[in-house]
Formats: sequence, structure tokens, C-alpha cells
Amino acid sequence: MISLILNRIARVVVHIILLFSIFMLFKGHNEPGGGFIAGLMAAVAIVLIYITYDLKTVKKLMPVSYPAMIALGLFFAAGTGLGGVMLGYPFLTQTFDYFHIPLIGEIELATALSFDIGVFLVVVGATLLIISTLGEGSK
Amino acid sequence: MTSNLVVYPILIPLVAAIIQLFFAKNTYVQRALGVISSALVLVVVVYLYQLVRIEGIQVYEMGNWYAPFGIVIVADLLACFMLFLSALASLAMSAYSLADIDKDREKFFHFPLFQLLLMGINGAFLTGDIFNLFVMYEVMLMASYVLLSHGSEARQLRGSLHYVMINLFGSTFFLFGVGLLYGITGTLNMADIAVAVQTADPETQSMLTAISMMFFVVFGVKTALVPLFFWMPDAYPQPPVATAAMFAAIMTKVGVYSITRTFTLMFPGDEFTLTVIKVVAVSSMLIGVLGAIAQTNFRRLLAFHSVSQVGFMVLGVGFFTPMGLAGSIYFVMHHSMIKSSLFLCSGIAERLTGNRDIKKMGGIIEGHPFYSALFLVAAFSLAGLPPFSGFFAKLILLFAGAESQEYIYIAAILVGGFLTLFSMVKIWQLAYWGKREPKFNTVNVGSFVWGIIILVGMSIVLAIMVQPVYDMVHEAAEQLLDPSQYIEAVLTKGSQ
Repeated sequence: MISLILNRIARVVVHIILLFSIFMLFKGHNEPGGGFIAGLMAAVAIVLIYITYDLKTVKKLMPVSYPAMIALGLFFAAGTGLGGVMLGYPFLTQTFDYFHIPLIGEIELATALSFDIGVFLVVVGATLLIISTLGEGSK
Repeated sequence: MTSNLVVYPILIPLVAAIIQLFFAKNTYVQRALGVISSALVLVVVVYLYQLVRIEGIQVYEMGNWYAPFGIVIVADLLACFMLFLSALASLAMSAYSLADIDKDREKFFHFPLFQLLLMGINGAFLTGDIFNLFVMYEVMLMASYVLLSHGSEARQLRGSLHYVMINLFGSTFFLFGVGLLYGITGTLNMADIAVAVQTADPETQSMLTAISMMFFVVFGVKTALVPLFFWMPDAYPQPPVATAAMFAAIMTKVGVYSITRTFTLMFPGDEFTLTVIKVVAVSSMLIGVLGAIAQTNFRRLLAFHSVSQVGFMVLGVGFFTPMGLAGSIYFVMHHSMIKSSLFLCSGIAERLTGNRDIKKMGGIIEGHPFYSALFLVAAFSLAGLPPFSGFFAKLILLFAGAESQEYIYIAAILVGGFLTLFSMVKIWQLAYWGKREPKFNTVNVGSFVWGIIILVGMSIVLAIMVQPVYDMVHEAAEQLLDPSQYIEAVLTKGSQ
């Protein structure tokens, strides 16, 4: 049974949550926000889909394996640290620079961002893995 | 700039775990990576030890933030010894798991979890920041929670629930302690804390002693010292043998390491703390071994022994002399090899007889003389009979006790050793000698013994090379008793 009210609201709200989570992800390293909280938000959006519809819909929308998502996230995060090692700096050394991107203008990009993206993926993957495991029950 | 070598013992298992996660379906790749990563860490640690001996304590600034603002990774001689042990044990366990771990556990990420456990352990040995120590403990504990309850057999869950509860309690206390310490000293860097504690005014001194005791309680929980040991005999018999052996070999030693580090660097022992440490150590020495005598479950018996043996190591710290600390480090090395090989032996015995109770085993020596001999060497070594490493470990502690004229503790060491021998002989008589039980399972013992051979072999090397090894641990002990070396290495680095 799909609730009509929930269905209508979820269709709108999910997009807003996802957008806001990406916003949080990008402003993370200098201001409140970051990969962890953004990941939780994105996971909440997906959980909302799960509550409104069911697990099958979630799996259809996101046909990825969650463990692989966690692995990819860890890879990004650890890779950011290892990048510093390759260039002869200590592990996890971060740097930043300003870039000019057409339409958006001058923005600051830091290597911490790729670390945050890694954290984001890990958090989303782990949350969804937990929820889908609990949701599937003991089959 | 320091070489990156210092951080590799943490990074290699992390990277291995990530790659293993990508090969979720392909367990062959996971197995191979597990062995390779442990072997690599071992090689790195040997190089690192050379480096520390030649150039002194190695300090590594994570993310290029210098101490006391950033997190530092510090490798001194003690840390190198501990890293060596964890790498050795993980290599032996990886070799053993190749034959031991069942398909289900393999499919559900046993090997990546094992690597993450190794990462947490190595991180705890290397970190120079008390909060980071807490984090590394959590990394290690998270992995151990899963490894312990992996498979979800009913009795396994019962044991692991105890374990999770007691460790959550311990971690909470740890956090309180760190918070209080930060409130007083205003820093989390261990070297910086040491300076702040030295220069603290007498009024805060009592508060600092209270905090140091809080840490002692926390680490006592993790090491399973009396009176906080009761989770251990429940938890260790349940998981797969290789996991239990890894826990016995290294997890308890992380607690011993933390006690050593805390009471040599941050709170160099005063009369009160040292007396508390020694009394706790002696009571776990005796109560643990008495508990072991009463058991007939092979692994429960060994777990009670761990409680007792940890007492010996902590007693060495309590003596607070170079010889006492050297004895403690030597004991840690001996115990992590021997106790884990005994656990692996118990695993083979369980497979052969299909039983966990030594009363229902019997006659294993018939048909498996080589494996039984390995057990005998390990058992006698644990009991401290002369040609083996356990003898020298206890001997150094006895000398240390005699040196500081603490005769009661000497008596306790001797009684503890004697009772250990008694319980080991009990296993030998009931499980290995005697009439052979008719329905033995056929097990290809050859595929299991490699891990045991590595460990027992190393312990024999430890016994033969006792003089050079003693010189090495003595050097480490002297470094520990002179915390100014550590402090200087950490704090002067940033100003350069």
C-alpha cells in the first residue's frame, strides 16, 4: 500500500534533500557540513523512498552493491591521503587552489573535497547496507 | 622530513582491506592479499626498527601539522617490538585461516575485517596522541565486535554481547578520562601532556592521579586484569580459532602496551600508582591461573590463562626498573607467540575430536605425534620450563623482583608459574595421552600446522637468542624510563 500523501510529498522532498546534501558536501571543509553529515542526509532521502515505496524500488533506482560503494568511498578517502605520500608530503596532507569555472566563476577547490566525497560514499553505503539488511529480515 | 616508513604499518592493512572489499566475491584474492599484507608489514617493521635504533625515535606528522597541534605518529623501540608481534601473529593467523575459515564467514568479509583489526592495533601502537589512541581502539574494537559475533551462533552471540557491553563501558570511561585530562592540561598530544603533568602544581596532582587510575581501569578492562576479566573466558571460546588466537596474541597486549605507555610517559609512576598496579597484577596472576585449573573446556582454560599471564607483564611495569620493563616486554613477546599457538592447537584438537571438553578428548598423540609435540613445546614454554622462552621471561621478572627486593612478588611469580605447569599437564594428560577415543574425525592436520610452526619456531628463536633479545628489550626499557627522549623527539620536530 502506497500512501497517497506520503507519495506526493516524497516525490518533491527527496530532490530537495539530495540537493541540500550535495550543498553540504561542497561547503564542508571550511564551514559546518562535510561528507559525513551530507552522507547521512542523502541516506535519509533514500530511506524516505524506501518507506514510501519498498526495497525493490530503491534497488531499481540505485542498482549498485553497497559494499562496493563503501569500498569505493574508502578508496577515495585513503587515496586522498596517499596522494600526499606520492608527492613526498606526509600522509593526509591537504592543499587547495582557486579555479575559474565558466558560468560559476571563481571557486576554491581543496583536496579535502575528494576526502569528503569518499566519506559521503562510505556513509551512504553503510547506512543503506544496514537498512536494507534489517529491512530484508531473516529470509 | 621523516620517511613515510612510520605510517606504513597502518596504511598497508587499510589499503589491503579496501582492495579486498572490491573483490567481495573472489575469496582467493582476499586470502592472498591477507597474507601479502601481513608479510609486508613484517618487512616494514624490521626496517623501521633499524631506523629507530640508528636515528632515534621517529616522529611523523599526519597531514603536515606539527605537534602539539596535529596528530603525530611516533615509533620508538617499544612500538617497534609490538608492531613486530602484531605482524607476526597476523601472518600466522592468515596462514591458519586459509584452511580454517568457513565459506559463510569468508563471504561476509572476514578477511577485510581482519585487516582493519590489524590497522587499528598497529595504529594504537604508533599513535602519539591520546585521543587518536581512543579512535584506534575504536577501530580495533569495531572490527573485533564483528569478528567475534560473525556467524551468529547462539552461544557466540552470548559471549560477544558481554564483550561489547564491557568494552562500551570501557570506552566511555576512556573518553571521560581523555576529557578530564584535556580540561586540566589543555592538550591531547601525549608528549605535551607529559610536560604539562611534570609542571603541574601540587593541587592538581591528586586529580591527575585520579585520571591516571581511570586510564588504568580502562586498559585493565581491555587487557582483562582482575577484577575486570570476566568477559574474556566467555568471549574467547566462541569465534573461529584464528580470530580467538589473534585476540589472545595481540588484543590484550594492546592494553598492556597502553598501560606501559601511560605509566612511563604521561604519568611516570609514583608510589601509590605503582603499588596499585602491582597488587592488581599479582591478584590476576593468581586468580587467573586458579580459574584455569578449574576449567575443562580447552579454550576457556586458555582464556583464563591469559588473565594470569597478563598479570606477569603488568607486574613488570609495576617494578618500574629497566629490568622489570625489559622483563615485561620480553614476556609480551613470548606470550603473544605461545598463547596464540596454543589457541591454534586447541582448534586442531577440536577438529580432530569434535569436542571442546578436554575430558572427552584423549589419545590425540596417537597418529599425530608431530602436532602433539608442537603443543607440548608451547605448553611447557607457557609454564616456564627451562629450555623454552617462558622460562627466560619469568627469570627476568624474578631478577627484577630480586633487584628491587620485592620478595612477596617473587613468591607470587613462582606460585603462578607452578600452577600454570599444573594446568598445562592436565591438558596434556587428558587430551593428548590416554586412551584414544574411537570416533576421531579425519583432518588434514598438515594444512593447519603452518601457523603453529611459525609461532613456536619464533618462540624457540626467542629462547635461543635470549641474550641479544634481552639486550634489545633492555634498550627499549631504558628508552621508556627516560621519557625526555620521546618528548624531545615529538615537540622539537615542529619548531625546525
